[in-house]
Amino acid sequence: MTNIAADAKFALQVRNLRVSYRSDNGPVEIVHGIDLDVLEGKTLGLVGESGSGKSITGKAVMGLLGRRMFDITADKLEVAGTETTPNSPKLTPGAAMIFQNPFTSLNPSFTVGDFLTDVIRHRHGLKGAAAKKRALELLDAVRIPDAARKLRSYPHQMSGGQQQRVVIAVALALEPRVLIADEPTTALDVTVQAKIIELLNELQKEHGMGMVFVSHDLSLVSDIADSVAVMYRGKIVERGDWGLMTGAAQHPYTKMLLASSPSVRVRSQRLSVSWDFEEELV
Amino acid sequence: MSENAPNRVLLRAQDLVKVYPARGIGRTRTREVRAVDGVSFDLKVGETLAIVGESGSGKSTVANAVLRLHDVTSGSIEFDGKDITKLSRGQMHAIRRDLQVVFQDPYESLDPRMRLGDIVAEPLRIHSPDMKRSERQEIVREMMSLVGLGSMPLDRYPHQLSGGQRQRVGIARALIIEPKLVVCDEAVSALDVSVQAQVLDLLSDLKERLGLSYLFITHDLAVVRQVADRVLVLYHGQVVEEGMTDEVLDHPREEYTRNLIAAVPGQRAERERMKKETV
Amino acid sequence: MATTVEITVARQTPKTRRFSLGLGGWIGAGILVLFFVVAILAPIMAPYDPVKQIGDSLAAPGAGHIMGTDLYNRDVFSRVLYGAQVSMSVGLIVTLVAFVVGVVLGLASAYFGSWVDVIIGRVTDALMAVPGILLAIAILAVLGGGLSNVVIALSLVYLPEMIRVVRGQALSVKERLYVTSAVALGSGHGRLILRHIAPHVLGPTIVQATFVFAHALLYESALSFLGLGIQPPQATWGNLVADGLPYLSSAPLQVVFPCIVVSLAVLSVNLFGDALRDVIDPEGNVSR
Repeated sequence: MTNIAADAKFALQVRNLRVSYRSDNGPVEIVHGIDLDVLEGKTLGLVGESGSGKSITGKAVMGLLGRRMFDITADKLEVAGTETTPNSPKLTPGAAMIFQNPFTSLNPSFTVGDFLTDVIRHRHGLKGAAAKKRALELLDAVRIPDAARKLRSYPHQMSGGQQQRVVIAVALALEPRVLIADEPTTALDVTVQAKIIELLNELQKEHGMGMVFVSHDLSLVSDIADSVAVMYRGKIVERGDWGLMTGAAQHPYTKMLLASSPSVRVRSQRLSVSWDFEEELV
Repeated sequence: MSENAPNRVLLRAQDLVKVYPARGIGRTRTREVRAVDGVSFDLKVGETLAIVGESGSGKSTVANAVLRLHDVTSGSIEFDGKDITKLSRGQMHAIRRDLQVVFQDPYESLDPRMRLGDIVAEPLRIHSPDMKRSERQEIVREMMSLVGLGSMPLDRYPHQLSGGQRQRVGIARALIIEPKLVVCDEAVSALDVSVQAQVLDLLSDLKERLGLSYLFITHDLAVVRQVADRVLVLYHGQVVEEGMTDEVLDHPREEYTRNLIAAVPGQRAERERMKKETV
Repeated sequence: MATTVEITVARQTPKTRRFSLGLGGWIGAGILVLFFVVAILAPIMAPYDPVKQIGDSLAAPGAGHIMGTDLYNRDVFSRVLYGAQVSMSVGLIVTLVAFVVGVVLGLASAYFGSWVDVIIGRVTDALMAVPGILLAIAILAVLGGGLSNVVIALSLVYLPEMIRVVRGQALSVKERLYVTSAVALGSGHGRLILRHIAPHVLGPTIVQATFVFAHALLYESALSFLGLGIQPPQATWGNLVADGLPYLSSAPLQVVFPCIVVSLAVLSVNLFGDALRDVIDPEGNVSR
């Protein structure tokens, strides 16, 4: 890791995370010893294509993987200095997670207000008017206009971008020290995506929380991440700071990802770069 | 004008309108939606025209209209001189020989119960039913080679292939009867970056080799820069801007286009990278 | 070769599902096969002519008559065997008719829509408005009894269910992208229906057919018991129960044997059908 101040605090630290899947033919390891470091107020971009294990890693850190299907081990799993056992049946304290499709993350039978006040009550013990006030504050924090009316709205009455903002508000209600965002903008239009990225950046500065931004899109990650880790087939093949995306990449896989991304500014003669991996048949 | 003269218009859409009428009554009444509201464009032989827009822009509706998968409310679509909005199902059959499509979802667009060989051979069975089996198999093998799947056994099922491989199969199927125009409906949107790059290069190679024209539907401006000669920007069913790709992307005239370009991720890093390279 | 497991949406695909019926499934299948064998071989296996008066009246099971004799001095065991012939054949024919006609009408209804769907839909609704057994009784009241009329009546009772299952499946398959792709390729109606829609519909439909078979067995027995179906002296399981019922106190086994046999047959079909459904249609597209 490049120069870190001696008193810098870590929002998340993971050492040697391994995840195995209990398949019919015996346990299959799908994440092979991952280390993660996320500083407070900073974002780690976790980049990988499908099958790389990035989503599984995020869920493992969050504590979302069921123990019947998955086996999780780690030498260290710490959120803001608090250790957690990796295979614990409980969700990792101090962490919150948001997902790709806001529509399936929000229960369509409940209004936004119901949802938010429920979480607020659970986390802070606030009820009634106090909870409602906090809910309004959160909706403002995520820049949703006309918050009072939105509290009474159902998810399907809102646009995708607004739904995702609500999801972020719910995550914020938990006052997490680290936020794990698993492709939170992939299902959104590109102009909406830009606004959500902007929002996440601002919220991070305001709340000082660390963020793990999981994505397949290296370009998108470059807009939000302070440091990057590139995953391939369950391993981190390269990590670095922002310089990685501006030319300092060493590993052929990272270089290939960078070269394969089309640019809106200039056309490439040939996009694909051959690399020594063949497309695998399942 | 001869068949392959450049600048010959292959596809002409004029004043396309698609209206979904209001339905229901009372509180649950939906509003009338004008998915496509007066869209016109020309696509010339040998050209790749991109139609770009966000969700709700109407770009998929235009694609479906061109393919006659849905009907338009009004407007005309001339393909190779014939107005295809007026054709019967039987007449469309002959047109489909020259007008093919590659869809977005590589997992859903191939029939899971068919073997690869049959999937790719199907257009031949439909449009050249008298072709001998040996000849057909020969052509299928050639086509699979062309898309980079030369060593793939033809008796496999789609679920045994990766997303990128399935998309190649979809391309092989679309091109096997040598169409004039291929509609790529978000054909690379569901693919990993590295696979997307391979498929884009493949489409480009095939275009040259087989003399194709493409109507490329996408939401990704970076892909537009990569593949398109000309681009049409759609917003709420209307054409907001159009022109040569480089012209529109380098010197956008409309604010919506500017916003769209500015929202494309990764530009900050790219600028830095270019600065470092020129130093 | 590294095995990367995709923990994303599990795609249902035909070849990777293991064909595993499970213990219940195999037991059910085995018993079912046994019944069919017995039905076919009844004339050879039966020790006596089922309608001939042989032994004593209402004798308990014993020498020469494994299941005893009935009121009319006929061997119960032979009658049970011949009854299998009737029940199995009625069940099979009704199932086949309901299946074939159901698939044709269901596919037509889903594919063509508009007036075809409306007409078939109305007829189906009308037939379903009357509960099964009552409908069968009503039809038999009009047509009279006998084997062929029972087949007609039961086929009409189960046809609406089949049409509904087929239609429902076909409607959802019709929306899939691979069907749209086939349309875009230029497929005609025939190719679309036979090559792309029907294969995806048959799975749940076959499962439904096994349940129709179980019901048909049961209803045939019920109808014969009521005296509306196959008429005596022909042996059917239902008739056997009807014949034996008045003498339940003195010779209970007359009733018990056919009842056990009917229950066993229906149970075996259900076991097999459930196991089959777990293999073919794990998502539960077919209810019951």
